[in-house]
Amino acid sequence: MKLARVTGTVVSTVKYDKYRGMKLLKVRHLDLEMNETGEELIALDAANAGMGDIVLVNNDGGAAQMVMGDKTLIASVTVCGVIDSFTCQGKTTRCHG
Amino acid sequence: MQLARVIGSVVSTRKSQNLEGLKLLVAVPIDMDTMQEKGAPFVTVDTVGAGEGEIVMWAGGSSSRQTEQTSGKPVDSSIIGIVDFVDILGKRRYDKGAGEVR
Repeated sequence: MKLARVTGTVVSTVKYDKYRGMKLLKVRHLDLEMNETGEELIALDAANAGMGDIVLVNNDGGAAQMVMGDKTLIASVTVCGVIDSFTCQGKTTRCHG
Repeated sequence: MQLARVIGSVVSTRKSQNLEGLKLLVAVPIDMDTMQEKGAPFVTVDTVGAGEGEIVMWAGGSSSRQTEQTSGKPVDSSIIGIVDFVDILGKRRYDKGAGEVR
């Protein structure tokens, strides 16, 4: 899993049938200084995350099936948690509030 | 399996229900040539009681869900061992007791 920021939402009308009712988010990986790195990804939301939230992004197909509760779902990236804070080398970074 | 150093921890209240009870740590990959940190940090699940500063072994992908704690849980990497020594070509490259990289 990696740290990421939710940078937007994605709306799709014509899509894989199982995605119906699922929220698609645009996320971007962060380094520990909260700088955005890498490419933007589209993720299925399993944590009720919103715009600007710092989240845990899981990049594994098997985990995506578990987190969305469907063993035949085709997906790779999921948002599986909203981060409150993280501590690295004694420094705590609060992510919201 | 790969080596990484644990550098921190993550707190998340609102998360997927089946991630509840798992300890989330921040780790950085270790380059075995230099035994130095190399690459982007990642969040991983602790299954062995690892702590900050320790060099650990981690497994990614579906292998990470083969442990007792992570079975059936949506994780993509797990810490599955704490490293005591690393010997490469007869040379001790890391000794946890000494705490130093040689």
